[in-house]
Amino acid sequence: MKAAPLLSVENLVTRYFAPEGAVTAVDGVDFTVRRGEALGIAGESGCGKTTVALSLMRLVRGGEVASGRIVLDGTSLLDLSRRELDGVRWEKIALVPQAAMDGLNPVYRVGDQIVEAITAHRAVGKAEARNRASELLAKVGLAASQLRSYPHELSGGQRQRIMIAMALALEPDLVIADEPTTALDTVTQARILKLFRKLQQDLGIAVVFISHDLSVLAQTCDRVLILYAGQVVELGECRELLRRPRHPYTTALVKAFPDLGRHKHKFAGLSGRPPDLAKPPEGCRFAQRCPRRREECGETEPALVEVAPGHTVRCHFA
Amino acid sequence: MSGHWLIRRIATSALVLFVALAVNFAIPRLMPGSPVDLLAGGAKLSTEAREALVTRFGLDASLGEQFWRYLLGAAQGDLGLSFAYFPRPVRELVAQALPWTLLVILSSLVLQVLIGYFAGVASAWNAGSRTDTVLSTVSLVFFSTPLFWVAMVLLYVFGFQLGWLPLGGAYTIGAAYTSLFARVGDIVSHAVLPVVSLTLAQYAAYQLILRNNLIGVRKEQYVLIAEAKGLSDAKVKHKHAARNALLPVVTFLGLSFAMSVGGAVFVESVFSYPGIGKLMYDSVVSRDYPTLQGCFLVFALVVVAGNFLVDVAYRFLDPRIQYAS
Amino acid sequence: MKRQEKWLRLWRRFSRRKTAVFGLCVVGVFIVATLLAPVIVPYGPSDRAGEPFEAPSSSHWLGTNDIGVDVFSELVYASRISLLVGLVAAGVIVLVGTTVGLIAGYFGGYVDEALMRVTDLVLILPRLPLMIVMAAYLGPSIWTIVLVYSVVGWASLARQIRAQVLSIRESSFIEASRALGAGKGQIITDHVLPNVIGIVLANGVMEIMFAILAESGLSFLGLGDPTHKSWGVMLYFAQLQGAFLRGAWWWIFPPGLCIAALACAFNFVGTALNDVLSFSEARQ
Repeated sequence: MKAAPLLSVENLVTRYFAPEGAVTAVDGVDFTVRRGEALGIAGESGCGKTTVALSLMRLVRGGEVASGRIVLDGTSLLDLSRRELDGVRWEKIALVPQAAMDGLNPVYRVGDQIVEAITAHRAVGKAEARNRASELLAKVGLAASQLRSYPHELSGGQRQRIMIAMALALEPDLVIADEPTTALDTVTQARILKLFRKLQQDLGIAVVFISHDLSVLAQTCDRVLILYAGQVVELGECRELLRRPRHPYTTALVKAFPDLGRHKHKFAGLSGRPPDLAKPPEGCRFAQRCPRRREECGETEPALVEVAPGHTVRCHFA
Repeated sequence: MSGHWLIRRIATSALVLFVALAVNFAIPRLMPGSPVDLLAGGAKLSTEAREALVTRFGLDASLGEQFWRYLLGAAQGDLGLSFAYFPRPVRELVAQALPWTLLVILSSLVLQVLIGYFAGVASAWNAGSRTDTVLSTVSLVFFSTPLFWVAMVLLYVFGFQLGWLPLGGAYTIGAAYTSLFARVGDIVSHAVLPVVSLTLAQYAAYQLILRNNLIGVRKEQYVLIAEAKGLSDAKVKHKHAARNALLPVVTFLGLSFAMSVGGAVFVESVFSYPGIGKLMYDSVVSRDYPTLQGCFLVFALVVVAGNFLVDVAYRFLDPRIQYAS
Repeated sequence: MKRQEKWLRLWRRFSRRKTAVFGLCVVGVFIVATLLAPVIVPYGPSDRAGEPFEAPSSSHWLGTNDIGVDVFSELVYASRISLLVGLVAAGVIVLVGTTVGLIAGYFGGYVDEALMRVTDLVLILPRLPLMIVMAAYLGPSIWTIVLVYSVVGWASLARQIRAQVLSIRESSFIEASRALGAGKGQIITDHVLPNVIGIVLANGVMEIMFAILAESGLSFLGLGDPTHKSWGVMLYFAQLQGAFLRGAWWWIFPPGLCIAALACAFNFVGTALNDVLSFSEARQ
């Protein structure tokens, strides 16, 4: 029995405008997210992770979603007007951005910023919204008195908690967390991740969790999607994918984090860099850096194929 | 903490005023020729008249003593006697003129900031588009056009040709007002052209500063989040983005008092508007040096006070500053 | 060779801007006009060639003024004074501002502190009133205008140069040549100066605009030299003799348009230079 997924993304193509021409940062990405599920998206910087996140909320700057479909709970997001979109944003889909501490406006008190998110969508009074905000702060382990603070008076970890509280303010169906812990120290990072995972499970919210760090995803996600040069190269159940990566790129990523799975190798280290997306190469995009490369790899582009139930790979030799 | 800051700020303002006084004191004494000749304004004086002048202005004392007396006098508001309106004290003349200048400068500053704000936000939000190009070019043209000439052209078109607005002055001389409303209306109609000229010539800087800052601020994460929260475009623009780009604009507002008093000299001269600027212009023409220097001092005072108030306002705008240093 | 290529690249980027090229053309037209003034104009700049307040006609393209001088002839000759004063004043300002900025930025410490305090004071005092007071004592002449404008005008350029020098000073090649035993003077001329030349150039062009505007303003207030008529002096007389009351728009519009056009042109060029040069610096 398969219920319709909460989010389905089909053939998403997102381009940035550059003086030299358009750069296709995301090129034909498909995936789905089920209700309450945590999907991880991993890849090197520049692979299109953040662009996917921004595309989901239609927040791409200096570019556009060129084609594809994004359907959230039956609503096609790309067909909405700005006003309709404003109704969906944060109500159904919230964002904890990269370097989340910079997501708070420095000139307003954090409480007011949370209240603003609530009153923009709900017909509630200031006082009621404020009560809701203190409840949220309790949930993320902060005292209600912090509502009166300005962002610069809080530590990085505290600001991060505020951002999470704000993302949960309307109990959205989906939260996109884009490298939410990058700027934090390891101890704080671990605490925040634990908190995030707990809240997500308690509230039954689906999450798209973006990170370059597979060990972070291993702690927080049900399934993982690996992006390379704007394309999906592997998608599968988290533990399975980390234990038995099928795509050579995934293998390299997994090896980069020796404490994952059973790979106790030294960091293998990929040589080279991802291809220039302004003019992507023919054939497999990973071919140039691939240890298993053969002649056909430079000629024909491999398709995504299902190698096991729920596990797809884009490689000629998977 | 904040008390400390206030004291320092007051001290700086006092220092600038002191420098203005010192400059004022020094200029006539640095110029070629004896101060007495300058004071006489080119008139040939008898020996007795010379001596009277020397005694009257204390020119027989040492420089240090002269300066000390000068400072004491200025502190008590003694700016000397006008040559042109002898023996009226300069203080009286500037006191009469100052309110008109403040009316023009302050109304124009409000307009400059408003126009600069909306034009700046519009061009930053559409950076690189046609709107941006047009708005930027228009402001650049006004910025490069001499203010007094803009004033002359406006006077010609709206005063002489169309006859919509009065040709000069601050109010209709000898008018009997039937109501307060009529009086205010009269004053406003006289102020329109001076204020508009000053505004057109000086709004550009605000637009440019806001535009450049806003383009940077727009890339900030919190602007993205504001939009992600489902706030309307107007709220994202004005409440979240522009509010943060406004701080440099406020800093500039402090500096712009110096520009505005300069502008006041031009518009008041063109429109015969009875403010400090017109007074200054008239004293150049009549070589009325005490009044000329009094006007300079009052302008310096306006600039210092304006700067000070803006600085205080700045602290309320940016919560981060209260805690820094 | 490499330097030549760099300038060529900058020129290409500069010439791609329509406003910049337009500005350059306008400046060119004015320069040609000043050089060829006697050839272009039908009358001398102070010949009483017609009746007072004659409207524009085929014999007087821009009419005549209150004493019957041909406005067009007067206008073309006036461009000489306006341009000359603008260039000289801007030159002085660039010289003083650059020197102060270089010294403050390079030597730092007390020197910097002292120079910047003075700079701040000059920046905060009301410029125009100060110039008026000085000029009133000095008496009307073009050199008065150059002098008073130079006294107040150098400060903002000095600030910018200083900021640029501070950032250059920390860069590695200076450290290297210091280690190699180069003296301070040599470091300034060999390393610092070439790197601020871009800012100096762009700002220098802008300073010409400001100087032209300042000259016209001071002259309009009656502080200009009545024997060397600039556009500002023309407007001063126009205002004084009630040109508007006589409906003599031809006496008022052309000088103002010339000032605006020339100032705009320098502004366009300066803005483009600034963009092109700061862009190339950011790239390196």
